[in-house]
Amino acid sequence: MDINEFIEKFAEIFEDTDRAEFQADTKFKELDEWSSIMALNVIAMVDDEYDVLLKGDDIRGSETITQLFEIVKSRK
Amino acid sequence: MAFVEVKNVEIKGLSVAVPKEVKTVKEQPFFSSNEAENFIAVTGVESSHLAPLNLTLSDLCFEAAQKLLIETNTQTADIDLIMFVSTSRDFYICPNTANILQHRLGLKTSCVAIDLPFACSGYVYGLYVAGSLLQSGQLKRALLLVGEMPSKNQSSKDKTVWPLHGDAGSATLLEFSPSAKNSMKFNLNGDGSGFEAIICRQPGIRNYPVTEDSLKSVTIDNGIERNALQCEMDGSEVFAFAIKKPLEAITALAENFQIDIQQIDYLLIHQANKMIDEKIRKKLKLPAEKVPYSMRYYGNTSSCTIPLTMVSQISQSLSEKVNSLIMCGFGSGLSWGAAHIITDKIICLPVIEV
Repeated sequence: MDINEFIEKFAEIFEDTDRAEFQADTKFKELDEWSSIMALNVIAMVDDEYDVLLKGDDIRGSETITQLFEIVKSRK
Repeated sequence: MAFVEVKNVEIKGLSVAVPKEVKTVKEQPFFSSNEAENFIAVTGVESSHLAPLNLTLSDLCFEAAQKLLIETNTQTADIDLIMFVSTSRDFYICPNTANILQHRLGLKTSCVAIDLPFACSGYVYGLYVAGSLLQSGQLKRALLLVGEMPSKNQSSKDKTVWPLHGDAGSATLLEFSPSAKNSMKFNLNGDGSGFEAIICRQPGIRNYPVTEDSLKSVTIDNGIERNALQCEMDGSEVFAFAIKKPLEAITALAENFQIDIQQIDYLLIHQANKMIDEKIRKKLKLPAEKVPYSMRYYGNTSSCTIPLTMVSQISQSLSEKVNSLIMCGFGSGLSWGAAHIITDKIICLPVIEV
């Protein structure tokens, strides 16, 4: 699993946020576009792309994109 | 996975009642126009029906049941079982709402009356329990009343639940029929480790008693205000559950009973939200025309979504011919189940507005 590819797929979910804002250490919940609906989009993307099921606690417990990536990676 | 069969029982008729008043997603004050658009894109819900304060779910089920009895030419004396499947009961502790409806519908006192407090998985569980009670032939006919009135136990200031849900009540007439060619087949599951995923914390015995504090509205987050008597949903937890377990249940049902999913006429998925349901449809490789949706104008009406989709989207097919259906309900409990049911020209009433 590649972190850059993960960031790319993560960024594609968002429509109004500039691609440059998505970095490994981006605190995604601080983005203006973040919402509970976006959390569902992230869970859906990870299920589709990585066949890994994130739980509500995984999203709540993660601050940065890297942290989320590590959870997904650990379950591959 | 619990695989169970119910033999010698058929669905004869079906009706659904909703309140007249409509609430739209776009008019909700907690959404910016952008948020409302995103919400509609993910959930597929644009509007739903909303009951006035003095209308209850038992009122909706009463209307649905009464019209169904008339349209199916069924005498009240012929109903041996009335089952009310809902968490929107007239009285939370006692008595059972089924008893109240037995009297109000003019059913005999020897009619067995039972409440079954299921939420979103309720239609599948209701068919199983009512069907099981009929299959020995000692009881001949059942009125299965299934639905929910989320507007009564949710906060209108909680964006995680209010815009998604709608009010609706259904009535299904089930009959013991020794000549029935096909059994109803079920796969039923539950996992109480997720009991807090969708929960009304009060009133009840666990968080007893209800106090003044219970009624205080608390701000949980931006756009999320509710009190302890109002139902809460952990959206991402439920979503993660919903994209995995229902699909597994349908697949296992088909494997166990050797059903070719491609050969069914319709897959009726609980209208939880469109993104969840579309994921299930695509993973099962079913064409769009085999998976009807009703959530756009009715929202997620909990246990009523399956009967509501049947009467509002495919009633012509149901009333004119034989249909092979797979149903799947999932939600609070956590509880989920799938069923394979073959219907033969059932009497399907148009949606009733009360």
